[in-house]
Amino acid sequence: MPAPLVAALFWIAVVAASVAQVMILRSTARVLRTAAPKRPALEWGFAIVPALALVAVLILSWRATMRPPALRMDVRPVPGEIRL
Amino acid sequence: MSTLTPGLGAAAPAPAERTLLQDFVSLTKPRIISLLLVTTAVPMYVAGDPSIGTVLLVMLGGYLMAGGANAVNMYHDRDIDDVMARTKLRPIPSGRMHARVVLAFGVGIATAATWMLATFVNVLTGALALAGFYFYVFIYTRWLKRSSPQNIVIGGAAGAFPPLVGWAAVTNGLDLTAAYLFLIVFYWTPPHFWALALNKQRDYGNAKVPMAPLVWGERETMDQMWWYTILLVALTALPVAFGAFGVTYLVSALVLGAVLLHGVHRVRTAEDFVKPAWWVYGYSLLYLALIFVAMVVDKHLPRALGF
Repeated sequence: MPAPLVAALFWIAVVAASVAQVMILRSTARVLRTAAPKRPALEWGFAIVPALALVAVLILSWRATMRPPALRMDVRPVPGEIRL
Repeated sequence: MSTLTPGLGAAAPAPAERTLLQDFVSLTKPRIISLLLVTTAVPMYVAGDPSIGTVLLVMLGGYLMAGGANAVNMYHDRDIDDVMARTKLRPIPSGRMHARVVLAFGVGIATAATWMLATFVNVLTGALALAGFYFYVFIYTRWLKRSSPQNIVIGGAAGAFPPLVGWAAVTNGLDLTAAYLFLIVFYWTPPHFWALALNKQRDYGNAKVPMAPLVWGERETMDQMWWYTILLVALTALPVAFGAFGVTYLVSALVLGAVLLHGVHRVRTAEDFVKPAWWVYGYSLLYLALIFVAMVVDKHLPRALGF
């Protein structure tokens, strides 16, 4: 795929995922206020840990997307050639 | 490896004519494991070109591990299985099997699976499968299921281990693409199970399982289903950006995702959510299987066509 298209795809997906994750956290905040759970800190943890994991994966994805492609060479071996 | 269906299983048929063998098989929840085997085997072909022997070995090990987790789950949940219409015909609540026999069976086949995978595939594969088993049994079943409305959010990680197992079986390692396979199953789990929970609120209420619709209310659960689905569809597109998959996969993921989003939108907007929620529950099973199949097609189709 052309590089500008890849970049656009990446950023559209990142924005969509980030907005969705923020909305999930907002919804969690709302239900924690109204439902008054026994262990609110734990419930927050259950919402925040996946969000942190998502951020980590998005950063790794950004690094992988920006990495220049490896040079590939497809040279057929000469008969009898020994390659190390 | 563990099950894709935290805390949930298909309704058992009438027990009258069931043999002991059928009861043992039913403890493993074979219908549920079929999707799990898809998410185990397909990543193997995404990761490389495994031999058919390796694939069969991993599938058998995966079945035994997930079946063991399901049997231990039935042992632990025998009290609530007795009060839920969907589960009261299972071998323990119906009195056909002793609880300790079920526990021994579950632990036994999970132990056999660990040994088999670690010995004949590689240690990482065995360790990941065992981690999934422990996560399902101890984190989900024993801790979260009865204590938090986010039980299936975190519990979804148990069902996300199979792709890692399949990947590790071929590469003896894990990478960013494998992490995405894990995340896709992880973020697929909430909309899938909340669609079921919306329609099974009475059952869960009787069993005092704090599923999201009961604790948060239907509207908030539907909203979270919507945002989790958007997150899921975005995540399915991201591996294309760093070159893990190509256009064939991207188009498939976006089309399948658009259909799922439409279904979840209908759940949120319909006057009566029952039918749309059943539709989402059924379609999401197909969605997950097809997303994984699209990955393999994308990887192998160009080569099959000679490109």
